[in-house]
Amino acid sequence: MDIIVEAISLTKRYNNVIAIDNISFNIYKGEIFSFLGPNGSGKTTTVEILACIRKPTSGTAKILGYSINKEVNEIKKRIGILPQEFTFFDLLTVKECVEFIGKIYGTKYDIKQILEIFRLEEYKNKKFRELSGGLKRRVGLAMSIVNDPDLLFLDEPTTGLDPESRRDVWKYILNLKKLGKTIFLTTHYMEEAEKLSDRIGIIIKGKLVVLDEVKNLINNYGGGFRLVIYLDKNIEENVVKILQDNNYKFDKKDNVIICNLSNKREANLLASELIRKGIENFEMKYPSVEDAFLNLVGYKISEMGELI
Amino acid sequence: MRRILAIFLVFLKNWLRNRSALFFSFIFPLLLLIFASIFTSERTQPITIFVQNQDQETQLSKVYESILNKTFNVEKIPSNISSPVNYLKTKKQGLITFKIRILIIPKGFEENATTLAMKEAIRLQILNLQRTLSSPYINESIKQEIIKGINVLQNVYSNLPNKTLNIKLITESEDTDYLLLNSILTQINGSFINNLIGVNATFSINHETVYERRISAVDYYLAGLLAAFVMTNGLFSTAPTLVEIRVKGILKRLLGTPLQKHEWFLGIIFSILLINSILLLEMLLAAVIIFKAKIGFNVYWILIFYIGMFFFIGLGVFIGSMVRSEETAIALVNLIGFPMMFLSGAFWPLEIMPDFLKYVAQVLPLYHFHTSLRYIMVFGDTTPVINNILIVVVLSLSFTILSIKFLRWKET
Repeated sequence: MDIIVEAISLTKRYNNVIAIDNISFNIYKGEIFSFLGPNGSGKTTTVEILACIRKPTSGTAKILGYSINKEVNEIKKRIGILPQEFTFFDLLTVKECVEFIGKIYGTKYDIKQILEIFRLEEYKNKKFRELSGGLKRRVGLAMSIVNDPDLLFLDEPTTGLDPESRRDVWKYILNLKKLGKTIFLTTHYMEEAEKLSDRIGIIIKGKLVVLDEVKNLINNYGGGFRLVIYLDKNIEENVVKILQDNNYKFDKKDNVIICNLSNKREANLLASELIRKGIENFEMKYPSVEDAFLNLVGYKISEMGELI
Repeated sequence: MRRILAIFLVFLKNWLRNRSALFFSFIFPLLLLIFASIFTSERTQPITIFVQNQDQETQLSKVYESILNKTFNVEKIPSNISSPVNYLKTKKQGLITFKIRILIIPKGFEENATTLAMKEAIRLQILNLQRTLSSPYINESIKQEIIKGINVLQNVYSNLPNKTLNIKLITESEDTDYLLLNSILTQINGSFINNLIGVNATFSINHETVYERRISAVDYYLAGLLAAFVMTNGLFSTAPTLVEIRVKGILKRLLGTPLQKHEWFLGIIFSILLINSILLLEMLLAAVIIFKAKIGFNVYWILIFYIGMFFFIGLGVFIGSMVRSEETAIALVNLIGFPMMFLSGAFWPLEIMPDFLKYVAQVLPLYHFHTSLRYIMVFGDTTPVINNILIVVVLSLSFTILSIKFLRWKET
């Protein structure tokens, strides 16, 4: 696999604060690679170092084979970036924003096609300040591909958006992957990382805690399948008996029993047994990135990006 | 060059689409120039004087009125008004553009003027006859007859009553034109009596004119306002904008592109340069077309205009690079710009300011900018303002260098 990004022992210090601490990783051609972590974990600093906006305190990286320390212009010509909470010149129209970035790169681009990809044709004459948050991010995405980059940095592309706009932006990010772009995405949304990424790196306090493919992450750290059974007085005794008879491990809290199962087959067996006994008020919970994160870090991440 | 042009156009569009920026950059200075020049321009209209003729039916009072009318813009107050001052005050409540200057021609003006003229004519005749007595060409018998005549005339003269014209002039206590008015009236009165007694003017004044270029209201305000608004355009279009661009993350977006620092800087400079050139053009057109200002188009004042502009852009970029919030940037440019605008003499002459403020003005860069700009615009000569020019050049160079050095073009 072609290596697009090769980060080697990157460290960034701001006075006494270590923003990123000796992290190394590779990003491969055509994948969506995500950094998942709470606010202040070092996601943006990493993106900005790789996009040649900041300099690392130590360590180095190669982007598309070019050194971030020596070949900044070569890198900048070949990357696209959507900064965190992206905004632009308020009084420029959508078309002017995209064209402006096009002029900066000086490359040939088809403005019509770019606007079409992000369904921005009908907004092309609207001023940037008149757009909704979701549309602004779409304009940012459109601007990031004007130079037909090989690598895109999307720094928290959906932060601050409502769930609907967020899903809308996901659609466009996945389209970019289909266009063959390699994407480095940062996020604090578990679902976003899981839905979009091929591989995820969990970053906490500047340290890369784990880096793996999504399915491996879930399988290794997600904690297995769970069956959640909602009890009432008539079935409680019966359910407990079934679980004890079959040696299932379970926790009971109020009117809910959570049964931890080692794999999907075991979960299906238990579900069949319950249905056979006339118990249908239950649901299967698949392990997720959120479970993996919780098991690895011991915390969840709030909507605002804080560890809770 | 392509990137510089892109930055230039973005800044320009952003500026021209901002209504308040447009108003304060182009419309407000123009309005100030027009109003300031109109309300402070030199008087070209004759002085208005209100005349109440209480001797209305007589011919001589009407003649006197017509003489006044040749010199002043005469507005009549009806003779039946008992208090002309109150009459005008009442009028003034609705119309405050005139000064109270009332001349009252008293009742009996004709009779007094006739008596006065007759008595004066006799006095002159007596003087004339007395001079004739000393002539060696007149024999004794004729001299005796003349002496008899003198005695008769002296008798008539002493029997005529002593009269004065008693014209009354009422002005406002703060009317600084009072002395001028009084002097003109004295001459008119003398001339009126001379005509009455048939004495023609014995000397005349030959009037010649010399051309001396003086600073008119529009000259003053044009340079002052140009300098002041080059300052505000330079400060307000850079400092808060640069901070906003940084705080909003626009700078970060641009840092991710191949754009270079010098391209960014030049793009900004060129956009402000064009904005100020538009300002210059519209102000010049207004001054020349509306107020017939006589401006010498020499290269020096155009140079000083743009050199001064660089100082304020440099200062604005420097502030914008040093402060962290947009609010602080706005507060700082207000703190620097507004006192400079009002204390530097850009809007009114230093002569009317207290002494200590005159010294304050001279340490303000805007003072040197508008002083040199004005002098060269009006007189086309740089010599008397060479020190002011040097100060502007040194400041511009220093702040341009500072702004290039401190303009933020990276994240630490």
